[in-house]
Amino acid sequence: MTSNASDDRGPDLTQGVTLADFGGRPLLRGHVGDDAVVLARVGDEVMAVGASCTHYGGPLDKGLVVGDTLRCPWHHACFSLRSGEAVGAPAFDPLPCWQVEREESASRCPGRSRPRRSRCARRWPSRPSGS
Amino acid sequence: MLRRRGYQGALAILSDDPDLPCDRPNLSKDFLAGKVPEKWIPLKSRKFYERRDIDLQLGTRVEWIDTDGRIVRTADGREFPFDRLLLATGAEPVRLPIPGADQDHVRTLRSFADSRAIIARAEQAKTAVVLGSGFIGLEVAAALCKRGLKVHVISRDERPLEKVLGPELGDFIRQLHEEKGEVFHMKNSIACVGAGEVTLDDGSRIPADLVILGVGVKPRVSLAEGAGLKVDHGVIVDEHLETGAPGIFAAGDIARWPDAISGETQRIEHWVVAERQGQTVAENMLGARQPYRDVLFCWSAHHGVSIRYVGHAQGWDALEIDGDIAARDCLVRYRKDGRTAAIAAIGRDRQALECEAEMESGRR
Repeated sequence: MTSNASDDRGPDLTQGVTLADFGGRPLLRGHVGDDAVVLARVGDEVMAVGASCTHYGGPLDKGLVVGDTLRCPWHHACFSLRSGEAVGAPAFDPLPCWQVEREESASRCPGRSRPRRSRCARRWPSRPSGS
Repeated sequence: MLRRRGYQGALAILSDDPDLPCDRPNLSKDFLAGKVPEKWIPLKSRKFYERRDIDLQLGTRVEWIDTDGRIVRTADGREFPFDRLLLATGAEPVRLPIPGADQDHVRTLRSFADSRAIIARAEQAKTAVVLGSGFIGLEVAAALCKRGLKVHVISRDERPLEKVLGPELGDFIRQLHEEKGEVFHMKNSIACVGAGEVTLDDGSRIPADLVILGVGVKPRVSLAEGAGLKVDHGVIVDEHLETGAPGIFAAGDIARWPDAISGETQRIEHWVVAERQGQTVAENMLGARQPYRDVLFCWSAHHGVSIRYVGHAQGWDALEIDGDIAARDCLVRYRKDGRTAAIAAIGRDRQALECEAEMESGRR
């Protein structure tokens, strides 16, 4: 029940991806440095969160976007795409969030919005404009 | 969830289990099979609770709840006052009064300690008998089989999990187990347990260094009863999971609450339901007035095949199979009164999520 580390890492999200790269799907897995990140389209917005479920490491890019939540395909943990919070068990720990910059038709992730910490009660920065 | 939502007041967890709150599904799955280290089983470390000022009282048995005086008293004489109380006392395994079942090598599985004890015996055992072909019985059988024991499964049912999943999936699951060498004795039961063997109702004798009883659980409601709360096959709560006593809630295996669609009450013994209900209770303790309407989700693992189940079908009028069960790529719909009451899926993870979302939107 661990995530499959040998999967294709997907595009380097710091270089930018276009909406066409999503291939008509709402989720796109890529990476920022060594971190696996999933981009999720919600309406006209694009949000970016960690790609591995914090329950048992399930592949969130194979999950389902419902409203502004992302559900894991393995055990249906439910995360807020806006804050990364695990709003529905069996996951408890939040996903890290990345800022997404929109440049005309491209979306890129310049870097982590905060250092990785393993404690809760983190403050999430406000979302950048441009979506 | 209380701390996440900003509650900063006194918060205590009283548990008669001496172990930290743990990942219960794993106790019958990978941990029991020896695939996962012990340190993965507690959900959180002690430090987690300390950092959040959660007073974790383990090995602490509560004896009495005074709903008017708003005090909980423990067996060792301590008192814990409360403004809000959650009862989540869980369920305990049923122990059938089978002659010889009080011996040391006859075990049930509920707690972390139970799982460790079974593992310790399994390391010395060559043969095992599992009584029960429900989720726990079958998962324990598979785990012991993975450890190299010769396992026999005994069950009163005609097929494993037939009442929950139907005959086709029941047969398929039995096959998954039989392919690994487990032997099934259906429509049978244990008449008595000897020192190293069991005797079945039909007279056959099966070697058994270890016997596991997996014949269901019953909710632990005596505290609720003692407190004067309404109990009827579970602790009765409303859609907010609140009992008749304001500020006192119940969640998990003990809670019986009204289903949003049918209005009938239900009590569910599944992990994700228990956890989600705890989260909803936290919100409601803080005044959120959130009805519990999450769609049931559970999963079960059988020799590498995961079955995902969404919804709740207490019986069905029609069963539709999409895909190919033998190919491990299928979705089974259980239809009642013209709607899909539940689905079971193998290899259809995205579809299972979609069904869950559909059922969810049907409840709003």
